[in-house]
Amino acid sequence: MSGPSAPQLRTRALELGPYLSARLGGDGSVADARLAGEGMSDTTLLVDLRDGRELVLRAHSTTVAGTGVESPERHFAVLRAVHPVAGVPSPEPLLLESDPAPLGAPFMIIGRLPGRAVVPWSREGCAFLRSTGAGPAGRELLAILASIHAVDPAALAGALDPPPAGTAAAAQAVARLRAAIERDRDGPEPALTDALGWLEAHLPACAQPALVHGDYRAGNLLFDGGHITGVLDWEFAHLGDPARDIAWLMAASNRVGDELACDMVPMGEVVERYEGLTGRAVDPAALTFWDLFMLVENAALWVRTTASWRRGEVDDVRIARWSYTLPRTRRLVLDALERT
Amino acid sequence: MTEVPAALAIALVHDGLREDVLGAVEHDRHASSALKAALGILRNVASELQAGEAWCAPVLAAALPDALRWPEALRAAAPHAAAQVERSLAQASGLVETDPPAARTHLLHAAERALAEAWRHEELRAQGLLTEVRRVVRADLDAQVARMR
Repeated sequence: MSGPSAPQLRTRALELGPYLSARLGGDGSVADARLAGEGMSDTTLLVDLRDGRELVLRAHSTTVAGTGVESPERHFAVLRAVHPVAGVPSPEPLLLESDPAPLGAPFMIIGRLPGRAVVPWSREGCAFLRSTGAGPAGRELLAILASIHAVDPAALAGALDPPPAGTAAAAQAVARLRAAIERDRDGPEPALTDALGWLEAHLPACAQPALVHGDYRAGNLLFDGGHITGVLDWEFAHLGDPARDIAWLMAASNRVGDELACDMVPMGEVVERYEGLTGRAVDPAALTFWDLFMLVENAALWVRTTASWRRGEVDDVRIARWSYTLPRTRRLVLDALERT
Repeated sequence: MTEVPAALAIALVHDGLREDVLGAVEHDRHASSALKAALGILRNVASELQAGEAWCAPVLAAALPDALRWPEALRAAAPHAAAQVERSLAQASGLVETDPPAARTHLLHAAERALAEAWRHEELRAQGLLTEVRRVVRADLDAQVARMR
């Protein structure tokens, strides 16, 4: 099953004082712990210590095991590598606990960054992103991505697998996706089969692999005073084709209208600005490939979690709810195929 | 187990799912995501009950005449696949009246096999097989999405 509930985690977190004192030093007594979010891979709590330190606790969920969401160990190692990088505001990794005993689930503690997260698809969130994107944050959206892609891959040696050359990285990614869909499907999947065929026939070559965030979008950023103050959720980070991040930034699922990528930056300016910042040419064919790839990957995640729910392997009722969105997800895949 | 008539089941779900209450919970940021999910499931159950088991029958009736041309299109390039697709379509045709959901599954199996072959054989793509099969897949997905909330 999926481990302790959010209220259970909160109760356990309030009692972590002695453990945190031993692991982090100082007075680790917990003054407050409150739920910040229940994602598919983590439950996030904001933890305030009595000595004034403000922390974030991410309890790892087993709900998505085997879906491609990377392990907490790998996630922590990525944070270690990117936190010191100038121009990439990422949380400081402080502690990784793989033993479920202290909290009831494996977890990591990271430093809290200033700013607030927004829900991009809410009316308020969209309005905020549109107005903020017109200012410095709009420029920072691409400047930060350029800085992520400029991270020296050598700094990640040991934490991340080196990327294969040429089209092999994309080929491997599609092969993994096909295997996952074959393993988890519960019946015919014509739209996904069609998409896999298209992807295999249009593999882009990556001339210059880079650190790819893997889920770079407005919903994973923090904002404060008109600026981007944090980039969160690095669990999908890997070394690969940076076009994947650009495609995701521009994806239809990450904007409300057609004009603004992530509701922040004019769609027509994204590639030009990125190329100006990085000196890397962006291949439009690679963007088309990764746009479709991410849609299929998203569908594969729902196929997997729906199958897990039906087999009784998870008890997260949200998965049962989201299984109803699978037809819509498959139709998005078909829409994208028909645009190619 | 007592069998509940569909009309009663729909009435029960609707009684427990007043739109004003559901809307309030969905927009309440203090409501748990599990509660919202459970209500969302009930809402979909109501839609499924309302649509009934035969929801896919009109799509099948419209799609099958077109789909019956797929085996012939496949025959030269992929004879084995053509035979398989033909069998699936025959099963679908035989079940349209008695078991529309099962007929739909056979139709989608046929569509999947035809699409897979189209990506193996360029000449099938050149003949427009992808477009023809996608038309059926889209009709099915549109019908599915229409009954979901």
